[in-house]
Amino acid sequence: MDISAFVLFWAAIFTSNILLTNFLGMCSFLSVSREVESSFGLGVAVIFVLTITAGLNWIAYHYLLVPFQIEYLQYIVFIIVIAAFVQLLELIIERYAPALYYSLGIFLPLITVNCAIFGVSLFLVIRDYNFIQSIAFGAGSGIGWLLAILMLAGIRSKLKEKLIPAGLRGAGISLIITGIMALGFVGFSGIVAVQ
Amino acid sequence: MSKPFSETPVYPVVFMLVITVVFVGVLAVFYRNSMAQIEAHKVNEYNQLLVELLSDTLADSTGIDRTMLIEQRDETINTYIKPLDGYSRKAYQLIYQDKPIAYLFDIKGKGLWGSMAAMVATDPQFNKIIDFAVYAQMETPGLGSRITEAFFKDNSEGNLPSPKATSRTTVWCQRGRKSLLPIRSAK
Amino acid sequence: MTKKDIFINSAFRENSVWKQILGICSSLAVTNLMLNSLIMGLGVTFSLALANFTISALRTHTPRSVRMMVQTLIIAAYVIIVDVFLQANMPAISKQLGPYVGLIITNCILMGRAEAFAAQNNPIDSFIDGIGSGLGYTLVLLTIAAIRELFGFGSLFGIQILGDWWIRWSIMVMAPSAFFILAIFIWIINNKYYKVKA
Repeated sequence: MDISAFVLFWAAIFTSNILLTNFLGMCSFLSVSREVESSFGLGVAVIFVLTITAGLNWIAYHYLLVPFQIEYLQYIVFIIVIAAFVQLLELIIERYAPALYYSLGIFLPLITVNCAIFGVSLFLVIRDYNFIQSIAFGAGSGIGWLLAILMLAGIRSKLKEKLIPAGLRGAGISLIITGIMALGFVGFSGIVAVQ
Repeated sequence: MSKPFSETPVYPVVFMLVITVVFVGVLAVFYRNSMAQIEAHKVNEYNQLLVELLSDTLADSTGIDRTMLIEQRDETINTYIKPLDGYSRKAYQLIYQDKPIAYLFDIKGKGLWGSMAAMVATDPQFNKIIDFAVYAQMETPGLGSRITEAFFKDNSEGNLPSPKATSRTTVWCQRGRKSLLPIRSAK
Repeated sequence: MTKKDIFINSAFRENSVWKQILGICSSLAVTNLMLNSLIMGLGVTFSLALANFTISALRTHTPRSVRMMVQTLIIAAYVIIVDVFLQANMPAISKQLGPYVGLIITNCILMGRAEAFAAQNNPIDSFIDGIGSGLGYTLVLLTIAAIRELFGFGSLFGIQILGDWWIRWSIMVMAPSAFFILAIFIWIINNKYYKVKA
């Protein structure tokens, strides 16, 4: 593909934001965005996991699946790589940075099922990126996800709960806010062709 | 051993391996069985589109009814359509009475969300597009994916941008409202 | 709990979408047409029920440290079966759903139900819970899709209801509309079904 990795990186953050344009990674996005600090922590973890698993899955696809012609197993291989990497990361953090481990808490296992991470791996196969593009795309998507969750957390922290109708509090209002943000990001579509 | 096997450290690894082998095995069997069917679908669809795009020209030249040509798809392909070598993607010639009366190129290019593949049928001098159809795309269902519908195809007859551009066919189309998708041809 | 209780609970009282807020990603992407939603919902129900059953059957043997990986593997296997089945037998639908069938694997509903129910209950109950959750999810999807398809295309399940005089609402065809429709749906459910007070 002739798109440069640098442009792809910026495109993944803004014009093809993995969350507001592709709508991947919504579940933890909605539940964690209540506080800004935990959103930031989760977002940073997502960036790290996304970048590395994008690279790992690219290698797994091109050096394991394609040569043996077992591309249909890509779903299993990708998700296992992601799950194993998160498990490994959890062990390392628990051993060497216990303070970080306690602040991240339950979020690490939550990252395994984050559709954004799996989605990025699928996209880099569909769009046929090379290794550097995949890394750039993964890092950019992670930063884009962090951006989106920080935006929502920031807005939610300023909301006066009493003014929101009872039925809309929590999930309802978050969905509406995200919808408005997504509409805003529709304005970016087509600026950069990501494949 | 003093501990039962299920509490030794190696048990999780063994368990994972066994589960992986079992499930991947089941999948492999299922996939192999279905593979032939999936391939057959793809080939059928491709050939169907191939014949449909060229059937008008063929009907005009041979006088055979167009619907009959489409119905007897395999025979039509064997008799009149010959593949061409030397192109990076598939290309075909429509031959009647030993003369080419049309060409068809399989082209691939960028869409908005993924790559697109299409077929372009041109006249023998590469001056006019006879017909055009997108057969693989990943656009938003209901928006960009409507590029495969009839109203879009009917739009595409006409002249190529420049008679000299015989080696590069660039077709510009609209997705939804404003974005433009260039589709570049094989050569 | 009786079997019927489990079903009602998983489909309505603890509905995956409007109560637990899971499975949102796919709710936004495939709800532009009712047919897509139905197929997606059935695919999720099928994978969920079987995955729940299998995970529950293995729950006493699965070591804690690889629990999540085993669950992920089993879910992924069933989803791939659904994907391959669709490609072989319904190629047109498979093309419409495209990459979203693969995203069933990371659909939080499957992992959520596996962790919350299948890991602690027997296989038959888990199977029923899976069917209930899947059908509850399908119900929500169909509701959103009904509104989106009706106002965006003027049809329901492909059958044209509103004639040519109807100007299509483009926003209904784009995904962000699903956010708003889902939010309003949750609002109505919270007020009428759960009777949430201010």
